[in-house]
Amino acid sequence: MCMNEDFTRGLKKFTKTADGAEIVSKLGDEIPKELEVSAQEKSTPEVQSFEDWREDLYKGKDSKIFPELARVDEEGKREDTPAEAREELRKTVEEAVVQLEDSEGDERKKQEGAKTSEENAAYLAEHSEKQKAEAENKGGVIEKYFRKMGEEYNKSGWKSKLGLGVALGLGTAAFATVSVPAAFVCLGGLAAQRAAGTASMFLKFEKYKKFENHKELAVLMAGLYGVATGFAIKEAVSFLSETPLGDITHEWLKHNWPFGHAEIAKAPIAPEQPAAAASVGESAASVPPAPEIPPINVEASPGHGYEYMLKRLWEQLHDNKQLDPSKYAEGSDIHKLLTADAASIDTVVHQIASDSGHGFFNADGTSVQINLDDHIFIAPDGQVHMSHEFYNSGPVQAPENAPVTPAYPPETAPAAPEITPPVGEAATDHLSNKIYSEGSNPSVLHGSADYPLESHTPPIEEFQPDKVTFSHDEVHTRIFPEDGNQEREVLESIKTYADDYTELTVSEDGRILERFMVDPEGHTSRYTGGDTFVPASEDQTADVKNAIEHAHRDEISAPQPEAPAHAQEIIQQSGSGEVIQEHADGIVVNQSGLKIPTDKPHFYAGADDKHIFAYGGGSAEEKLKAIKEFLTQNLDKTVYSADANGEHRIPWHITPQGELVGVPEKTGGIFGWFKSFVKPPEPNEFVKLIK
Amino acid sequence: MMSPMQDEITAAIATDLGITELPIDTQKELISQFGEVALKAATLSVIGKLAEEKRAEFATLAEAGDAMALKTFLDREVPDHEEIAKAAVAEEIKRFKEFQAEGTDKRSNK
Repeated sequence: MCMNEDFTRGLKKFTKTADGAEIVSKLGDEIPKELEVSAQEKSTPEVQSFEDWREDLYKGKDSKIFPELARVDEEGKREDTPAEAREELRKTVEEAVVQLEDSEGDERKKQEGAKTSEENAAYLAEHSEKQKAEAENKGGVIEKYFRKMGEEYNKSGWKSKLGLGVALGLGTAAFATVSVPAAFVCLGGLAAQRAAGTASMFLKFEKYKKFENHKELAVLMAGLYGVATGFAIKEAVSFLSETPLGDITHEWLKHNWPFGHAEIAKAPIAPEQPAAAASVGESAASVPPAPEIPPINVEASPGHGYEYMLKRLWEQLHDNKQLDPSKYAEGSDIHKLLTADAASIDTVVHQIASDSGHGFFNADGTSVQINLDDHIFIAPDGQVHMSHEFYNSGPVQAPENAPVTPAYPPETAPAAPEITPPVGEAATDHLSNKIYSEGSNPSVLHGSADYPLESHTPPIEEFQPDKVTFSHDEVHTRIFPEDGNQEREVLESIKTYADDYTELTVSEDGRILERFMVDPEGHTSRYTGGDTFVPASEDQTADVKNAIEHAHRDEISAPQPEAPAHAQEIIQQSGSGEVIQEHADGIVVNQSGLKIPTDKPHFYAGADDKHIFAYGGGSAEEKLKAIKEFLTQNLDKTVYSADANGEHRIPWHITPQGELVGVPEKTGGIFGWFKSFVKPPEPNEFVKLIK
Repeated sequence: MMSPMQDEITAAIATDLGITELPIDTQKELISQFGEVALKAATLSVIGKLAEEKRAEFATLAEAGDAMALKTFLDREVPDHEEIAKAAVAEEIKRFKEFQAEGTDKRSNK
């Protein structure tokens, strides 16, 4: 293939720099020949270097050089959008840069007389074959185990391999206190990740430089050995609680011990308590000592969700023929999975994934985002847990101090009602994060960058993800490309950190499209790959601000902690934060003192007298029937109600043909990125009862 | 891009193996490859100390994923298994470094 002539000129403009010349040379055969650039010859003061040029590719519509980049067919007809073409070019350029860096590294090694990547790899491959031969000499059982070990290792992800290396003592001598037996058995399992978690704790301690006494450090590391393998956690915790590092131990445990951590570092565990129960903290009494839990886990993979991961977990459990379901508590996830067969597993994984107790899906309809670094596993409590970070193997849970939705115990959680979707619409599918389809609504789509998910972690010191996150909101949003391409669903994830930095990511099917950071002064930066954040444009800054403000408005607030779980009168907060009262007889009293029955649909007027709301009712069908009846008698009115799943606000009206029609209402948004669905009506919006 | 913690551990292992000059992706590949070699070396060294009739039991416990049972078993059958395994890994690191030094030595002798 040859490079497009115009594009070549654009590139050569920057060959004055050494990097630019190398890249041009490297890209020579890489660029698709159809790639055409029509305006790249613009000379701009903003684009003076190769790095400027490379960065310009990420600026979408704001690009100074490539605003109309496109591939064309033989007849000169455009084949894709500028955004797609820029994405293609970016990919090509970045791959070339990586290749260039790799070849430079190898060249440097050659010049220095050291081995190249290929030589090192060949040496290790050859050595591995020798080990295989050695295993064959030790008998059939060992040979079989050895082969299986190799297969398991190769199937393991990077995180697990790194953890195994740590468990074996690679890296520094200090890591060598991690269990070797754990390395033998983990083979990509949870133990490896805990081993790496232990290493992370060592690194954190090391930074504190407070352990000058080696004996003390040795004891500490012995404790960590226990944490890593689960053999002696109470000793480790007791020791660490008495050190000046109790608080950071507590913090570390919170992220690394998957089944509870409350006050663990500050309340030494009674010696007679078993290790597992001890670490549960306040809930220890309610959790019986669990039988041995197999160290299995499933890592996230592109395009797959909770149910897929759970099914892989089920397969792994059934691969282990020694597991006896009767040893595990009925109702526990491991029991459910072990007793499920091929005919029932789909139903079982669906039930687990949608169970509110697991926290995969929130009561407000949002769901926990799955990143490629995530994995699910069976924790010692027998339940399925999911971790977010390599060094954060805690269960899915809201960050401390973050607003949470009321938690229902699994056995009393109401089953999801079978409900009919709104007229003319497809039902919301929670488990695939799909949102109602809707008619076309062309808008402008910002240029989208496709970053690898590992880049989710901010590379800048101030943006360290292990800082305490104070809130995390997720909003499903739809974007409507202006070129008529199919609508796309994206997920906006907004995290506010303890240092008042706010991070916004927009992702689609697990791929991060855009990422911004807002500092405490409101300055917005846009992530452009690598270690680079650049100042966001004015439009982008406004978009981000809008999205964050909108998400905060929609926050679901936590119930009052002092409220008794089964009191006759339950105090809770509405979506807008005001307190309402719910009585045992199903009557809700809002902030205006209006009594709102919840058992049957009723109609209410809002503060402006223009909005009419339908609220209450046992089923979606019942509510829709009541709304249709009301609107048939009030043809010029619009009635707002929750959709079938209680997630979105639907404005209903009657067509001249007598059909009840409604599509979810959206917020305005800017440039299509930050549109989102309006929350359903809530009691505090009602001023008076109409019917 | 990896998380900062992964970065730190990767860097520590890369330093241990003497491959810090290589690109990060290559480092990861080599660490991954070396990890398998190290795991197998540790396993072979411990198995080598086991009586033949105990090897099947080791394999069964390891395959079952029961870390505590395996540790109890090894504590009983090969009391210094931790040191043996780590010595095997250290030997692999040493060999790997020697292999790399071979090239350097040859060139410097030219």
